[in-house]
Amino acid sequence: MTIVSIQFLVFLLAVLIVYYVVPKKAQWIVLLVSSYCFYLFSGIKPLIFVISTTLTVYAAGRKMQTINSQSESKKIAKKKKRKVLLAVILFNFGILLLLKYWNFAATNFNSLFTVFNWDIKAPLVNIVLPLGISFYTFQAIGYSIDIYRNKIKAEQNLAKFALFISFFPQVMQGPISRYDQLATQFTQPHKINYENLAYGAQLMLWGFFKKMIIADRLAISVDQVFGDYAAYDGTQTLIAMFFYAVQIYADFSGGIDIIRGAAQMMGIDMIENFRRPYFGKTVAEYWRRWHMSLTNWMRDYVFFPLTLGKTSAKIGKWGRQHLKNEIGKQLPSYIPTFVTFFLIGIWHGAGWGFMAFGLYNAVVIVLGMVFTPLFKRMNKFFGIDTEAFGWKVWQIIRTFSIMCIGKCITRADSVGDAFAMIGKAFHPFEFDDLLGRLLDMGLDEGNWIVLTISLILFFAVSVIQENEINVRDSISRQILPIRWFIFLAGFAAVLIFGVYGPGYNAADFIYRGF
Amino acid sequence: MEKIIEILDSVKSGIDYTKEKELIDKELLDSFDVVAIIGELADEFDVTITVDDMTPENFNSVEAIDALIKRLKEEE
Repeated sequence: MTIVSIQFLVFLLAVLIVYYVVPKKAQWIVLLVSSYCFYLFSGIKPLIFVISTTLTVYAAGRKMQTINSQSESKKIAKKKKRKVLLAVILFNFGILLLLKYWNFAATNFNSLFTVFNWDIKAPLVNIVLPLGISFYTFQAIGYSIDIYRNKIKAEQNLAKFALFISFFPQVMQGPISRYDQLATQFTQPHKINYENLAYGAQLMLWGFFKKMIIADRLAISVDQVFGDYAAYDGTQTLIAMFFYAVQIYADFSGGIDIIRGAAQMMGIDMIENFRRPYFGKTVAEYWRRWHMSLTNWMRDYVFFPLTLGKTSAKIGKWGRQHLKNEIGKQLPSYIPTFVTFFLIGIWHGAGWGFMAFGLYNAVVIVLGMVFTPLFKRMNKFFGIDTEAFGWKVWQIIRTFSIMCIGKCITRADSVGDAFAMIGKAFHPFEFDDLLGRLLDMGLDEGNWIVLTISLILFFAVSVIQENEINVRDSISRQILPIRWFIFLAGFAAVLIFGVYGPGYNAADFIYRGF
Repeated sequence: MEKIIEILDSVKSGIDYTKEKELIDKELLDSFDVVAIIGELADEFDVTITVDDMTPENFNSVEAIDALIKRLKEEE
């Protein structure tokens, strides 16, 4: 059951009715039962993996809490807790590695063995990847590390902890929530509230708009061009690369809007996962705005521990003493940046394209840091006003172009194909018979019109939000007929202009596969 | 305090560190800046800042950084 299916809406409605009918104390139990029912729709086998993560992480959390209360000193406690933490990380990341990455590694090793004529064959694993495994595993490990760091106390109630891991709106594609932000909300009483219901429904509708009208429409063209890029010219390739960057954003952020909207209807505030990433002025800023729950996870649990480790401290000291410039100060960040972005790359999937994508981002960020002093001097020399609107627009376009190239690497059939496409796209833009060539990209005139209007609307709303204006607050201040007109027009637009596949179900979310 | 402001200014200039109380929350400083600042603080004050201290509250203002250094010195 995907979150853009009729079944999901019916399921959500049923959950909401029961949720607000039962006594407030039992609301979290409704959420737990419905979350497990939701997960059961994808089969019993995947549920076993969720349960194993729940049990091991819960037990490890309790154990670390006990160590804390029984140890004579913090230092001794930390030493003992480290063993428990390592065990729970190894077990859960072990499952993730086995299910998600083993076949990729084994296939590559087998190819290597064949080259050397070695009679060895690594066996392949034939298990369907459980729904949202990358999301809930990271959420569970984050919880364990927070207990280890004494940031939070372990949950004592297994059922409540099980809900934190399996909460049904988020289990498929995040966001990767933090325990202290989310779990406490489950057990609070939630009265039925018009604002939560209305705002939640509006956010869901906006998510459906982005997913079904924009992303799924763009997918038609993207699939066609990326599937046979040799048949298209440089201009069409460039447009397809731009389309994919918008598609993946509309797809993932649309899904997150549906998830956050559904949660809001239950009175639960889930963390933000996107803050208009394509308005980022640098690649580093883009990553602070894109899939924020993952990048924050990587920052807190990978980047900071690496930069504050003994090796980084030595590198930093050497850099500050010998280089005595900005590079010297930044030196401890370089290697952790590569490690972090490599992990962000492979978090998305097992494949050379994802690794290349991660490293590409790291290279751009580190080079940006290295050349910052030079860029500053150049700006001063040429008298560029870096606070000017035009300069900021240029920075945004530059960052977006860099990300279009990066995303092409993950979308193309192979890294080689990606480079071939990027090379093609770097040809001068050709305006000859542009209309004819646009219509040759899988979308007819009607679809182009719908797409163009939708993209303008999407862009306009993003600009409004970027200026810190809450669109839903603005709608709520309108008179009732206007509010309902906006809502019904949006609903009708999704019904009429949404892209529906066989069985009237929307295409699968891209991030659902991660 | 002056030394902390000097360090902050050397890592990222153009911010009024005497007035600003939300250096992290407002994203005036990013993770890379914080890592650079920590290195400088470690050299200057001879303290070890660990990952457990990496919270926005500890780096949101000069006063917060000063309090963190004092606490770490007391604990050592």
